[in-house]
Amino acid sequence: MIASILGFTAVAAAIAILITLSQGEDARLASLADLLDRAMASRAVRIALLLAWWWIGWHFLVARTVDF
Amino acid sequence: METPSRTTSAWLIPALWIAVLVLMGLFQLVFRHELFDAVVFLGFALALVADSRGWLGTPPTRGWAPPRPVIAALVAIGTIALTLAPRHGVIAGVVVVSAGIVMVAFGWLELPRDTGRVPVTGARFVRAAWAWAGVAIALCLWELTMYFLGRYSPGGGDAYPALSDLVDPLVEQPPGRAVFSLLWLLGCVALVRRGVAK
Repeated sequence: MIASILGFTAVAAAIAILITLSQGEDARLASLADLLDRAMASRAVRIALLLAWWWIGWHFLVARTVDF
Repeated sequence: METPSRTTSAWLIPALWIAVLVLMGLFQLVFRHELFDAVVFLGFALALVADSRGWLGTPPTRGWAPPRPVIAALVAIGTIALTLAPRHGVIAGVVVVSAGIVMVAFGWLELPRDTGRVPVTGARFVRAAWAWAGVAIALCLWELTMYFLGRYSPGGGDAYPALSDLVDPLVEQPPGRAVFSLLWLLGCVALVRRGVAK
């Protein structure tokens, strides 16, 4: 279980680092909002991301969340 | 005049995302045996392929958005409903499916061109795209690794919990479900607002 938690924690830390690096006008990285604005100009990307996010709610709140 | 790389990315990026939907649908079908989830992902993948071929026509442009107080009220009502209603129940299903229908309906519309927002370009965008793609791929690979180790190694379910196994006990309790529902609904609103017409 520790390995699993460490892995997900590392991903969360990476996300926090990316958000930090994208702060400010002279940041080396574009912000996530700007990235999504451009990527989601495409309907396919827009629908795919919206569906993926929607499925997270469906998975945890409505459907079978855990496989037995 | 369009450069070759720009022309390629115009079809390659959407094609990759359609492929992601296909993979998600096949995973739900083959490994989790969740037929509804598979139909949703594969159905929308097919719809997007049809759209890319121009078979579905051009949808109307998104010209209206609910006022912020209305959105805030809907998020609050949805959060309360998802917190108090039984998990996996009918009310939760109605709220989540309604949110999905609204999201996809808005998402399918053409983006307006007079928003005043300018899409970011250049090295900052490219760096951010690669960095976020790397993190997303790492998360998916780790989740898949835990899922398969948990499923196929002896006693693996407890030793290698997937993200669902870790989050499930938190969402089971009303305080955790309230936080999860609020963040999820705010994420729905935030994502629907994104996208700038080129």
